[in-house]
Amino acid sequence: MSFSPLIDRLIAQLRFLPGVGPKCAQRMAFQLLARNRTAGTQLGEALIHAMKQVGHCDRCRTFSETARCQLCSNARREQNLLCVVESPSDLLAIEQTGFHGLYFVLMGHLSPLDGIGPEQLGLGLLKQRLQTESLSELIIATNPTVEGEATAHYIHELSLPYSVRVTRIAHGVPLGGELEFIDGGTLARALASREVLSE
Amino acid sequence: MERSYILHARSYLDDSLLLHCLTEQHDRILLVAKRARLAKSPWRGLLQPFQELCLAWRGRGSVMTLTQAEGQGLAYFFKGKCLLAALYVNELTDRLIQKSEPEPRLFQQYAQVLRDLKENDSLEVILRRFELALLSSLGYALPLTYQVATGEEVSPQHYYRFHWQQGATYMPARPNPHPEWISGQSLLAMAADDWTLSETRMEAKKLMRLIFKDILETRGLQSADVFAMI
Repeated sequence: MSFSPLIDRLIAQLRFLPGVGPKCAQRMAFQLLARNRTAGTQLGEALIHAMKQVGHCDRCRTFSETARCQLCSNARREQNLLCVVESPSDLLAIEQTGFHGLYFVLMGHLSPLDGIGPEQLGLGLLKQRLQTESLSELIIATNPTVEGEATAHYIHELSLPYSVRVTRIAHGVPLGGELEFIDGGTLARALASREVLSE
Repeated sequence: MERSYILHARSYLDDSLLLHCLTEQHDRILLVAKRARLAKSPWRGLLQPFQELCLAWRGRGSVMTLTQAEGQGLAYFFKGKCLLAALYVNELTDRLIQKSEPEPRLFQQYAQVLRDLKENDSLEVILRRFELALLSSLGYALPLTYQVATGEEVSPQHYYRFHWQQGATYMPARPNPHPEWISGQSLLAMAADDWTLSETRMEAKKLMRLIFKDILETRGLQSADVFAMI
């Protein structure tokens, strides 16, 4: 059934959010209209501001409303350590580990079947950074999927002309995991990249 | 359950995956793996390309629902150029198979190319062999040894223009390098599966590029571009 045009439009627009179906969108719309118009107005304003003003950092490509994001403009971070991640949420995940270098956010991974090539990932900008900045290490933290591996390989090839140490994050058994329940592929990977025990 | 390979997996909705699968009996199918991206999913780490799987699904229509998945043996871990080549094989298979009705042997050919890539002696030769096999399984077998119009055999001394539907056409004078023109020598070597000469490999590569561009029309093969840049 249909409501008035404005409500219909609101419901239709809410459905753009991930995981929101027709029923859920309807509930959200009525909740805002019936109980919380102030919050609704604020949500609208926040959306408009964010959509208009948030762009990409000119150094690491993460979302930022300033030309250079806070992480990149923080002079106290290690300037010669660069970590390449696939998405801003991956950046946050790495940030929680206490990593204190800089980032480069690809905003995706190489995926020929979806039509995503090197240009879409801003690899030109990464190359420029390799040229101009004196990095001591490039850490490739793309996901351990087939596309993530292909991306890692591509970035590795890209970095060969510059004397920078290129590393890849390790893959393997999760902490607290039990070998019995781990899939063969992951375990084979963990075995292949085993470490020498040292003091 | 049916033996299958995943050609491509992409995120679908919040927590699911949409899988392009090559199966032994049902050619290419699209399956949704519900909740496969959740940390607790038993399929995590399993639903990856280059892993032989046994899959079961239900539903009808163009997209069906995955109900069961088991791994068969170890997944192939391709690295570097091998990985890019394997991705190219996946893209080619996925795109071409949508255009026609494949023969059942395609599944075996696909399994074979993965094994070959693992051995990794000469990527170019492996890819060319697979491309020719793929085309013939899809009903586009290339007439490499004779001219379709006249029935005359291809001579190793002459040059030809080759089109995937019209076959070889004799070109009287040796041309300036033109990608569509190929030496008879290379055509015969391709037919005989003889890849010793570097000219054969180079000309075959150019020819295959053109053929796939023609067949796929709308957009070229992305992975070929990525592969060429390295």
